[in-house]
Amino acid sequence: MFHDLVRKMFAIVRTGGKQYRVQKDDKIEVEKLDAEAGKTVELDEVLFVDGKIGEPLVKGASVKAKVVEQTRGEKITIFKKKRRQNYRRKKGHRQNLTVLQITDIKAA
Amino acid sequence: MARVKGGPRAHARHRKVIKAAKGYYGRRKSCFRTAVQAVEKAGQYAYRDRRTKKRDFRKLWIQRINAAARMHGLKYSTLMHGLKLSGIELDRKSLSEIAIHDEKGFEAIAKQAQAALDKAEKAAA
Repeated sequence: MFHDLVRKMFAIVRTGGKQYRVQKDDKIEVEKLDAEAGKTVELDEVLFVDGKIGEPLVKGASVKAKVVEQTRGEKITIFKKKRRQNYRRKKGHRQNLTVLQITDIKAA
Repeated sequence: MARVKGGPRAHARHRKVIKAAKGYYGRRKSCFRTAVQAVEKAGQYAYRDRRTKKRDFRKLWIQRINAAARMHGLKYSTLMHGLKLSGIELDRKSLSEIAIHDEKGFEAIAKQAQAALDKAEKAAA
């Protein structure tokens, strides 16, 4: 298979209650983290890396990432309506997100 | 005081709705009365489907995990039970990603689940 030829080491990290499959240099959007742009954050909840399976976490493994920016997601229009009940609600929403660039994956 | 007529406001409102109805079929894209109905319904569907999207993807991941698990002599439900016993907290999205991109890694996971199941069975016997 093609992806076998170009396989890069990947890790599964958990942040903000979600799991992400990351490779080095990947850019990912995660739930807002408390860190300024340009700073480095360490994601230490690694559940899987390079064939090592965490129970639940891989001991000593970590993923370093640079905070690219603090941003907000696309605007979502929440529109609720119940017909014949004169009920209508309209609200906008933008999720607070942090864009991360993966700089290093340490498999321990 | 001068009388205020509703023309410009009404026109602005209509324009907003017509803009949102771009690309719709037939008169729903150009005629205000039908366009409002279409846009409102679209909003309701969008709200509902942001929720069903989560279920739909979970279903897809489960199908993928099941297929991969059966390649290693387990079925989906026993695999998940084994994972729970062995303390692995990978979610269904991650498991399916591993199954797709790292066959060996998934095999290792299946083996670990199997081992945990065997251990539990021995303890029960």
